[in-house]
Parts: sequence; C-alpha cells; structure tokens
Amino acid sequence: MSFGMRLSALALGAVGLGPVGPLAGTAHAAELLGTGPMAGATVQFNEDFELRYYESTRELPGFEDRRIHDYIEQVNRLNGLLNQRTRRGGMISAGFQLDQVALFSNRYILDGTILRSWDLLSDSVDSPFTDGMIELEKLFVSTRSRQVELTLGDGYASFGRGIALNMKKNTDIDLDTSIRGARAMARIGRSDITAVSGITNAQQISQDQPNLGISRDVSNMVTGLRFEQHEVGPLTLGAHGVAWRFGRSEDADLDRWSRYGEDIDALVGGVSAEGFGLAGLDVYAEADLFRYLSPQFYGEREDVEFQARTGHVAYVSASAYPGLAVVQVEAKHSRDSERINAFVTASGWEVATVPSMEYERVITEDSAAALNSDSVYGGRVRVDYSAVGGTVVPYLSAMSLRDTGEGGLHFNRSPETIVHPVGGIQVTASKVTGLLNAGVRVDVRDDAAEGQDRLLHLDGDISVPLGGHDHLDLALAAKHFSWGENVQDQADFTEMENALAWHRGEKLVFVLYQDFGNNPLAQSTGNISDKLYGAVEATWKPSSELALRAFYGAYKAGIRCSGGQCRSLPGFQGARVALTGSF
Amino acid sequence: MPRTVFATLRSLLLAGLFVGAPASAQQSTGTLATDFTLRDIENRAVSLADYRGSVVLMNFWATWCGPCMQEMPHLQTMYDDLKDQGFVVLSVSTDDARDASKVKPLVKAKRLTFPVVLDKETTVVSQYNPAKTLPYTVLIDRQGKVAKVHQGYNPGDEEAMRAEVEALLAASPAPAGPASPGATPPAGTATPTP
Repeated sequence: MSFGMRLSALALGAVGLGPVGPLAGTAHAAELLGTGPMAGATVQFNEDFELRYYESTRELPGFEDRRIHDYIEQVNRLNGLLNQRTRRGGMISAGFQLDQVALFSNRYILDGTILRSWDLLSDSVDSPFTDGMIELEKLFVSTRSRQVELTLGDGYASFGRGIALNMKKNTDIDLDTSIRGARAMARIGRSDITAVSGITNAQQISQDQPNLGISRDVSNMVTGLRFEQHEVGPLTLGAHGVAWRFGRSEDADLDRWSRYGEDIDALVGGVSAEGFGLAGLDVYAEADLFRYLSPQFYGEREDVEFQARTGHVAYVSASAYPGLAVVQVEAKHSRDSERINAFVTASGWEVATVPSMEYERVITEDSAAALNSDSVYGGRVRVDYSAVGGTVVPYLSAMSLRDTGEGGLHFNRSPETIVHPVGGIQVTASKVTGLLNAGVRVDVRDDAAEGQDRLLHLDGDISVPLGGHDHLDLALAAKHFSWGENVQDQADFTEMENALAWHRGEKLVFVLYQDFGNNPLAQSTGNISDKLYGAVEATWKPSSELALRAFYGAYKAGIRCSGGQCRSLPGFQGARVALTGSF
Repeated sequence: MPRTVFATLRSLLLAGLFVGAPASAQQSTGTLATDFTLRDIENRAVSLADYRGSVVLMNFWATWCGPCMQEMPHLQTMYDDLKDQGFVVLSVSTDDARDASKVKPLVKAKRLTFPVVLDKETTVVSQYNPAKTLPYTVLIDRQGKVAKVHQGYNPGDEEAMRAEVEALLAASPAPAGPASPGATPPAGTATPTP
C-alpha cells in the first residue's frame, strides 16, 4: 500500500482504488515448467518499493535557515506465493513477506560530532545496520482440501464474531499481527473444527507509515479451539475457547516460544447460535465469558495475591427483509470485556473485538465509549430501502448505547448515554454514482457538569463520466466536534478531508488533496497555512503489472479506525515516489 | 525446539522456491487459481473447485469499500446476462468477523443474486492479493486457471471486464452435462472436485 492510506477511505474511494491504496501489486503468477515434483506449480511475486522525503518542521537552534532534520526513508515489501495442486484435487501453498527499510540523510555533523536527527531502531533491536533493517515478516506453508486445511507458519484466526479471538491482517491501518505456529481446520460431515496455536508475530516494518524507533516485538502465546455444528435443524451451533499468555516488556530477551512454559493470563470461552431464514429472519447470537488470571489486567502488581475476575459479552443480531426493505437490529451487553486489548494495546492490535456498532469513519478521540469501553450496553437499528433494483438505496440507522465504564481512554467520568443517528443514500444506477452519509452523535453524561460531546459529520463520493474512459471523482468528508468537559481540555474543532481525481484514460490519474484541521491537539501543521494542507499526486500505470506514483504536499495527522482497530496516524509533509510491480 | 522446527520449515520453503523449483517462468495467464472452501451467506460450504468448467469472475470486496459498491451493480448485470453461458460471479466478502452480520443485509439491499462467500479470516484474499487492495477481481477460465486480474474499480472498467469474460466464454463453450455452471451449489451437494 502507499501514501493513500491516511488520505481517508473516502478520498481513495473517490479515485476508484479503495481505501487500501492503488499501488499494491497485482497478482501475477508464472507457471513452473519441467518434469520434477514442482512441475505445474505456479509462483507469483508482488513488489512494492517506495521512497519518502520528509520535510521536517524541527529546527536546529542556530541553523534555522537550513533543513537539517529533513530525511529520506526507503521501504520495500516483497511478497511471494507458490501454489501447487495436489493429485487429489487439493492445493499446497507456500508464501513469504520480506520487508526492508533504510533511512538516509538522517545524520548531521555538529561541532565535529556525528549526530542523528532520527533513529530507525530502538535499543531493543539487534541489527547489523544502524539505519537499516530487513525482516522476514511472514512465512507459511499450507495444504488445503475440501475436508482439511493445515497451515504451518504465519496464519490468522477469528472465532465467531471476533469477540474471543480476532487476529487478521488490517491493511487499512497498516497493522498485521499473525499467529506464528499451526492452524488446522477439519470439515467432518456437518461439523467444522478449527484449532490454532502459536505466538503472535507483529509486523515490524510499515510500508505506509514512518518507521522510527522500531522496537522489538514481544510475542504473546495464543491457543484456541472452535467447534461448529451445522444444520442442527435450522441452526448452526458453535463453541470455542481461547487461552492467552502475554509477553511482558521484561520478557524481550527470552525466547518467544518460552510463553508456552509460562502461566496462562486469560481464558475466554464462548458459545454461538446462528439461524438462517427463521420465520424470515437471519439471527446470530453469541455469549463469551472472560476469565482474567493476572493482576496486570487491573493494573495491579504481580507479586500481590490476586483473585481471578471475570467479564462477559453478549451480542445478538437479527435481519429481516420485508418487501423492498432490509431491517437489521444489533444489540450487545458487555462488562470488563476489553481488558485483554488494554493489556496488549501497545502492540497496536486488538486481539479480541466486540462489534462496535459504530460508524467507523467518524470514530474519534472519544471512540472508546462505543468501541473500547469495558462496560457498554445498547443497540442499533438500520433500515435500508432497495429501490430501482437495488441501485438506489437510502438508509437510516440509529444507535444508542449506555456506557457505564468510566476509566480508560474515553472522556466521560460519569456514566453516559450515546445517541447516534446516521442517514445516507447510495446511487449506482447509472454512469454517475454517488454515496452520501451524514449523522450526528451526542454523548450525554449523567453528571450535567461534564456537559455533552457532540459530533456532526458528513461524507460523500460522487463520480461523473467525462466521455471515453475519462471521469472525475470527488470525495468530501467533514466533521465538527463540540466537546464537553474532559481531562484533555479538548477544544472544539473542525476537520475536512477532500480529494478531486481526474482519471485520464486507463493509465493516468491526477489527484488534488485538501485537508483542513484546527484541532489544537493535532500533531501536524499545514503546508498552505497552519490549518490547511494541500497535495498533488500523479499515477501512471503503463501496464497492469506496473505502476508508478508520485506525491508532493502534506496531509494532516489523525485517528483512523478500521475493522474494530483504531490507530493514531502521523501527518506528512514532503514527497513520495512509489513503484509497484509484479512478476 | 520450536525455533529449530521453524528454521527447518523456512529452509524447506526456501528450497522449494529457489532450488527445487524449475527456473523457467511464463506469464500469469494459465496459472492455477488457488482452491478454497468458505461458507456463503446462506451457510453453505462453497469451494472454488465447484465451478470448474465455468468462467469465474471472483470479486473481493467489503461492505465499507466505496468503489466496491459502485462496481457491484455492473457485476450483477454481467451475471444476469451471461450466467446461462457458463459464467458465474463468485463474490468474496473480506469483512471482519465482527461485521459478518452486515454482509447479507447489504447483499439483499442491493438485490445481488450471485453467490457471496465470507472470508472472515482473510485467508483467501491473502492468497490472491497479499496487499488486499479492494476491490480486487480475478478472472478464471473454465480450466481453473487465472486469465486476468483487475485491481480497483473505475467507471468503465466493467466494459473491459465484460469483453474479457465473453472472450473466455467464446474460447471454450460450456461443457454439456450436470456440471452446468453459474448456480450456487446447494447445501452439502457441492460438485466433486475433478
């Protein structure tokens, strides 16, 4: 992926490339010839190379007229995949991801001493290179047939609705923590059994975000088992269990596999039931019980006696399809359900996620109330109306949650009630397409002195043909925040992220980006004015296997949420050139 | 011990890739499409191999992906027009497990009738497109080999895609017999893998 990530899902959506960026390499494979055991196998490589020139706002006292702290970062990602069909109709696959990063011009000489403006690696990382790193991030071999799947090496796993275990790659915000070990799945009649065990393997080198101060990953052990029985009458029934042992920072020097020999920190068990077409309804229900065995979940010392504590989640969804309408209801009740995530959040990965019911494009600094609060209950109703054969779909959605959690990241210090109505329409009936969403969210605290948080948001995409293969895409997104009392003393502010893309034929795309933000706590400054950011970008795709992209300008920092994860992404000012290909 | 196992695995893998494999390489066309089995939105087990003998347009998408929403009506039109000739759209949702309940309502709202499977763990999309660009479309011929790949969607792309599908359909007419493609296999009765 590439610099598009932070530029908002909307902006990228407008240029027709989706929120994971346009320059990811195409799948492109080659067949291996010969008469050996690998004859007939196919192998493909995806290559993503990028150079980034950072214009730093830091100044060196006495040398304010010189750009001492500007630097260059080069990153490269190579994915390889080999497939071989077996004689029984199954498939054997093997793959890897090799990442590399290097910094240039990140040193300067002051009074005869070489100093660094920026460190690529923290002290915890052993590397023969001080300003470079190469890492075999992912490696796996797997075999699949209709009845059995077995993966050795890096894999992903998710049980039920992800409440007990949810480890998958999140390209949207550049997080990728896999389970390095073994994963097996067997389909026996109407039963599915999935078993997974391994240590977590967090991606070390980011392809999209600045790589500075990379720290050594401290792995966690996870072992899980899920059983599903299909066609129990109209139902699918499931049960699962997960055991965790989390690495401590002081464990960094230990063999990562030593987690297997240590005490279990947490256990999660759950059951689920799913029905299809029950009186016209599709229904899903899941309940999970969390058992915390370590005092660290509660911020307590490990050498003090600790009584294990519990948390729980209940989640249900139901969908009905009366006439041209689609009605969906979701509800949840959780208590102490996020302590596992809180324990490992430093790794940037939430390993067990309760469905948030939130409109993620507008999740904010105070996202925790809807997303990560330990104790929340409430629900959401959404009604879509399918007109013109499903090509014009207006919808209304209303969420209401009661947040009784008063700790953690979110701002409320007394219980609060959150109300969030959203409406929108999707029109895809002709060459002109449009998507529009708007809503308002209000967080009302029980303690009136705390006031209310209010958010007004609007986003939309429209695509207009210009004749031939040319067309214009416009993406707009705006949010205005009005805050109640909070510990960060957050001031009201407005944010905008806009993009206008001109697709010239099939090979060229030109994009203008504009951001606005007057959040006084934001960690970036505009290049047009303090609050206004601008950038231009050109993409050239001479063939389906090759793409070249150049970007110049700035975009603002911000919080980005996707797939139940949120990440604070830094701003950028400078130039980027990316070359992506496959072979 | 585990470190040794992993080192061995790594050695075997590298050996397979760079030593054991014949070195000659060709273009992507004609290479194998990785088989998989996933549950569809009606809870049926669906394998890519079920559609061997059909021209398959496999489309990776997600409910939050704007360009995917723009592309879907065109895929439905293509499916309606060509399914009787042995063409199928196999739609693969890459939505997170926590969003799995949102997929079928969206499919219903958009009146999509082609098969939609759930890749909640992203194991399949990782095989086809490690970078997970969305939408991502893989065109597979009747022999189960990759014929073309499209990443992203821009208005007008559907015309080129349709021309490619029609060329594949014309290149090898649908085989006669019960393996008639284009329909979602009923529960528990998936066509055996050749």
